[in-house]
Amino acid sequence: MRPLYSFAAGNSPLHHLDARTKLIMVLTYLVLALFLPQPWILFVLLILFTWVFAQISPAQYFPFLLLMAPIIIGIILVHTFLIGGAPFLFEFYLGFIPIHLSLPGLDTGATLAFRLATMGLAFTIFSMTTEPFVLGMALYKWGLNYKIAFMFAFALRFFPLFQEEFIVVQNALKARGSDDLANLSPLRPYNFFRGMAVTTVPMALGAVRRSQEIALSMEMRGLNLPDEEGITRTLYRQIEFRPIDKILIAICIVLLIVLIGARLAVAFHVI
Amino acid sequence: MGELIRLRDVSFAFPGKPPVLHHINLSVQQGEFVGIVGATSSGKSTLLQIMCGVIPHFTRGDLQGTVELRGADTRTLSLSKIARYTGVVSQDPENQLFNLIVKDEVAWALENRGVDPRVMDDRINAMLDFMHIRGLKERITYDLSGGEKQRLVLAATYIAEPEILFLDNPASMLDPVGAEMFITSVRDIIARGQTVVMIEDKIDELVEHAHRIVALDKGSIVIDCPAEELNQHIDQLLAANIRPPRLMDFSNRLKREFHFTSLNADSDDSTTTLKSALLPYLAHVQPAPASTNGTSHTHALVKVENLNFVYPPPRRIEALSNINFTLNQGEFVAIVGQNGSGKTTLSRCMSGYLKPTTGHTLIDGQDVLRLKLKERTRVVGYVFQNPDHQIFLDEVYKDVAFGPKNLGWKPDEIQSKVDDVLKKLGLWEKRDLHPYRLSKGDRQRLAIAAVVVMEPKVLIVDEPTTGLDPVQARAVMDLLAHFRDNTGMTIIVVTHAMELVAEYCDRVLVMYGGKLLLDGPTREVFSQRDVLLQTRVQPPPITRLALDMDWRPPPLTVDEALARLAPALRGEAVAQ
Repeated sequence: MRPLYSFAAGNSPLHHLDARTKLIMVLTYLVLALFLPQPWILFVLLILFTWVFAQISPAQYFPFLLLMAPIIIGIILVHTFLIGGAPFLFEFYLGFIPIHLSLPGLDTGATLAFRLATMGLAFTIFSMTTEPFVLGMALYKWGLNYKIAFMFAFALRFFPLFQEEFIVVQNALKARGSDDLANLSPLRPYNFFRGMAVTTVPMALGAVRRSQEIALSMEMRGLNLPDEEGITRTLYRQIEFRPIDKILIAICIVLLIVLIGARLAVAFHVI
Repeated sequence: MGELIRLRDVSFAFPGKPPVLHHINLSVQQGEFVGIVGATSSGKSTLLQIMCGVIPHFTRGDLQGTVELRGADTRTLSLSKIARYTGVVSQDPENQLFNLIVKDEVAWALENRGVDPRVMDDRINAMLDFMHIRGLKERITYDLSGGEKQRLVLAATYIAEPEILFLDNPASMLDPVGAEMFITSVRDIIARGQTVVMIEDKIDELVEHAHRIVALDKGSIVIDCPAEELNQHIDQLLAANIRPPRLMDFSNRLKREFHFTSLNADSDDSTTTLKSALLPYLAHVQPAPASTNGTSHTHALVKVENLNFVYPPPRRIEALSNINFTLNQGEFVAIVGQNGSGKTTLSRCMSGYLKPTTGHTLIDGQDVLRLKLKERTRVVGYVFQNPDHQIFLDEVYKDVAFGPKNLGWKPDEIQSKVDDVLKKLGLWEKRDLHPYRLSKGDRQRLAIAAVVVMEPKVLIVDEPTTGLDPVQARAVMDLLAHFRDNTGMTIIVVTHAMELVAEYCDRVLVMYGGKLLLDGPTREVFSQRDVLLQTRVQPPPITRLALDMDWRPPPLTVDEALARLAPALRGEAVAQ
């Protein structure tokens, strides 16, 4: 099990794709997830696709699935019992309170929950197969200022460290006898938010200190030299589109045009 | 030699605070290796920050006097311009690495300088070769050991060819192997004629390599001398609360306390000189004192039985392999070994924060994993390495009371226990302060207090002295010894600080490759030099000196060595 959103080095076809190609694929996938009526199929397909083409098994992003499980269940339950209307699969009274199990609610809840989960999963897979630095280069090549492009990439590099720190802080809470605050379950919202608040104190301070030291370290290694001295910043590693990238981007663009076109056609009653 | 740095009458104060530096005059010549030493709050880090321009460009304050870098006032230069000529490596490598892959980290400074990408690879390879880390080129930075990370930071800084390199206690957070690797790299850099200014708390190593030593006390320079002349300034070092190098201290005390004529005033303090001078007296040294264990408990409190731990997939590393031992109540035990040897995994399995793959830990007959959390905190306390991860409330008093409140103690009981612990710790006067306003040493003591207040039978402390200067480190160990002596608590420290182990611990467990390699009284373990060699655990300098002379059982501290030599040496003094 690895920290959430940490890069999993590999030699798979997915790892070798250009970061820009993968970004466009993620965008296309998000549109697909928004428009398709049964996103749980996409969710399962994405897991299988990642297993085959990136050799990353679900065990490696288990924390993400663990995080999503209560959210998926919560959304489905809320829609099934509180929001959805008739027809009902069954209904009964708990005292004076009517309990309905709504079929449309179940359908809406499952669709919404898996739509959210599959979008999150797409980002997880993207971060696991894309080096943060390569992402920075891709954004830089697209014309983003290098400081902004690389800051975004560096933030991704530190995400796993923050998760490790979070686990240490949680254990430190346990060492102080605080079982309630250390077990952050979304199913217990009161303790969840209290625990998050207490955990935030050492986490936030650590983050501020760390960011100051990193900023200084970057500065002392010449972060602002290109701006101050008018130097053109060079790149050690070059990224280039390969034919497979171009083909995939073309497929994505066609797919996006078809999807958005079909949606607009339905919206304006052309079809 | 040209002058690279010149400080003229420099004083500095942080906003709203009294001055931390007073009228500093200092010059650094090209090719010099200047070592800076000083006790906590002596101003050494502030001085380094002023020299490398971090003050006033990054950290604000009232800077008086002039600081010149290559003849230009640093106030008139931007930090980027200063970075063109300088490189800085600080304590924590984790906060100086921001790329994912090693080669990208090394390339970063070159990219910022617009170096032609076609020559970058050759330069990167040459630098990685020079630092002996070529094999790490394609590795992910957060998978490296601490020593590898810090050498990578050095490589990533040095590749830009700075004229002057500033190192701020760079080895203080590394294990002995990591520190040794780092010092080797620094030595290689100095051999190339590189100008280096380095703060280092391990003065023994600094004196060995530096050309010049500058010592600070309360913001003023009290010693500025060639390294080989430092033995003439022992009194000034002691007055400045700086522990002199061990063998230098030993030699100096032999001369002063025993008028030891075999070492004349001009003789050096090298191991060879000391050995040849002391050898004639070895036949008459006193035997080693009995165990330093201050308690007479024989109650077997902790039983670790058949402990194995394998990390789950994808790592699948066998971190512990068939560990068995028993600890008595009131023992002060050190778990030592290199990073990755399994000592932290062992301590976390013993405290219930990791579930072993097989085997179990019994404390007072109870399996720690079967205890509920609140019961467990009364049985075994665990203090994590970084005190800042364990501060949860905004006042020292409230933070110490946090644990007892969680355990549901009555308010008057909480008050009495917290008052007692804070007074014992010397934190009573600071009880209303925000914990982050304390020094790092005080924050470490606060972290210990916050667990000790719950009165566990066993206290496990993970690297309690890492990143602390020798004075702070001793204060923390004194505190642990105090609790052991007064409460009968069993103390287990996971540490790399062998001098402190020698001084404070009754027993040492040496971990190597997930196995318990050695387990015994401190003196016995430190006597097995050949076995320790494979773990790279080094006994303290005085013990090594004694073992070199075949003085067995060897002394563990300078005080002990002098006490055991005293009768023989006094005989010499009388005879003369």
